[in-house]
Amino acid sequence: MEKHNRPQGRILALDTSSAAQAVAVLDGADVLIESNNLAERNHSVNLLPEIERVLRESDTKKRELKGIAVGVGPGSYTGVRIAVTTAKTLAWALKLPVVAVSSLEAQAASGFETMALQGRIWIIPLVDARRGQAYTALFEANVPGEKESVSDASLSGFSMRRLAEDAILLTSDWTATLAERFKALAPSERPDYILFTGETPKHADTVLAIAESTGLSLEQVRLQDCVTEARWIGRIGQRKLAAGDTTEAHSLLPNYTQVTEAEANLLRNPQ
Amino acid sequence: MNNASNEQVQHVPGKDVHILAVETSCDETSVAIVKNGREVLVNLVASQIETHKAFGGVVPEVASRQHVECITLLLEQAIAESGLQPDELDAIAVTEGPGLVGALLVGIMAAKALAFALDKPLIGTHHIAGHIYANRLIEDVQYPAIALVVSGGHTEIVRMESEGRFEVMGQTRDDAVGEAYDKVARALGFPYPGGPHVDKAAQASESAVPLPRVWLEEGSYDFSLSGLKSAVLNLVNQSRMKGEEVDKGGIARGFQESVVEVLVAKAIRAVHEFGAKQLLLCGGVAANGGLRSTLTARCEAENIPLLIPPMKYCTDNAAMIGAAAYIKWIRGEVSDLYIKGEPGMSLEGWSVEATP
Ligand SMILES: [Zn+2]
Repeated sequence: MEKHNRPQGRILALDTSSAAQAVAVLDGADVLIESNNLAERNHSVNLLPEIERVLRESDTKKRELKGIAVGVGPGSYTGVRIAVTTAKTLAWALKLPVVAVSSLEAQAASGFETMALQGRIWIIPLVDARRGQAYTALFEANVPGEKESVSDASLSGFSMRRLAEDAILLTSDWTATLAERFKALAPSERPDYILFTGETPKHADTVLAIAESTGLSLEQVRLQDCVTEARWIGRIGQRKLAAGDTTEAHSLLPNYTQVTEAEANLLRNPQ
Repeated sequence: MNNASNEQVQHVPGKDVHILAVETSCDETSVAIVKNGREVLVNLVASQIETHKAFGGVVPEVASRQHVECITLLLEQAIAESGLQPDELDAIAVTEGPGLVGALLVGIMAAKALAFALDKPLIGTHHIAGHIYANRLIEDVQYPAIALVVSGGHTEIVRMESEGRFEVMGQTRDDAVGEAYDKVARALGFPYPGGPHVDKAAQASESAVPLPRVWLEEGSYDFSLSGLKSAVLNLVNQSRMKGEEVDKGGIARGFQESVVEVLVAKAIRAVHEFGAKQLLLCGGVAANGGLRSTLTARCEAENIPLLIPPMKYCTDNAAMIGAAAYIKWIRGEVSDLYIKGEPGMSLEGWSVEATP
């Protein structure tokens, strides 16, 4: 992305796809105010009051906003609908552009940001989806030498490249697929680290098996328990906003990654 | 409902009040704009019935997904058709409960976001109060009044001593009327939604299979429909086991007569006991031909004024939510931005606090 494309102006960022209720106001890449609240799991109750609070405390008028960035999942169906319905209604009513951000991408960035890793890194976000499954994806980052400062990194694309789409997968299958993918690469192309982020405790035993199948040391396979932070919804959102990658409010929808169980049953056994 | 003291609410007698209302408690997404609690400027309903037919009933997750898909489109269309500017709205009302929690949430989040964006007060509204106040879209309600609420999820006799004050005299102890109709319809092999098919078959049948009336204890205004439903299922199974053809019409008529006789008798008794000036019939089952004709005949015979809203206001719709919200609005009773979906919300608890 070119420097002259740097977004100007304030945006509201929100995500309720996981345990954290994440709300922030950003000006460019600068985070003016942020809260990633894990205290209460009732996002539907607190989201609007929290939006009201962050706007007030960052001295931002609704009409000053230049856009809204929202995490569209995947994650809890109900949770994702809370932020998406709020974002699309606000965007429509305030006539603001809205950008859909993958909650997994923002979560991967949230987890990666806190790690001082150098070299080629695979980042694999995990959100538990029960029955041994997780919502997950695959990103690659290259950190040559000194890690870039956060605000530069955020707008220069964070050097995080997507290698696999958001999906719901059995964690054991996914770990095996990743190992195969690793082994198929020329040694010089292989990542130096594999970093699992997000709801890692539930899947730790399964995903750590990748060390053995790839021959990486346990030092090179890392787990970073983290939430989807609003700052990363905002930063990725700013980048998409500057690139004109917006969504029409009416067509903004959650990314469920799968049809409902009822529909799946119907497809299997048509009545 | 969380009550908020709100300086935005200033009821000026004589000035028109426009409430935009949202209803997403089950499988209809609806947005309406109602003037002064009685004049419907626009009432849009996006029905999902075709979708849920394939599943033989409402699938909550499917319903919630569809609400998200169309909610802002309906908001936009409703405002455009009303000819109002968003700023001319006085309040945003939304069904707070009861209903499917995931479905309620979509409407609630949209209503909260809209109220916040436009700086308008929010009014969390009870779904059954909406069904009852659908009557006010047609004519003034005279108090004290008795309401008979019959729908897919509800079967209640409600007493209203004055405007906006609700006392539940009786309710179903198991299945709601609409639910029982759907189950009987399934047993008889009718497609979803089955209520209208049972009604039609009942009205067309020459004879009725005798079925019990469930009155419960002396003086009770409660209902119980599960025993009756089981009796029907037994009859159907017995016929099948004996290899006989199921007398669908006879069973439908027997079932309907049993349900209607008890509903009508209890509603009429409540009117007499409380000296009600009106009986209000409401909810989706008000479409039932057997119930309408029997209740109409009894009310005529006993000189009881009976109100039945037109069908479009009996099935779930947002206009009725706007009508009910108005009685809160004129009393300055509005909600804050903390409301959430209340699947088991109390109707009595939603009663107004003050006289306007
Ligand atoms: Zn209803």
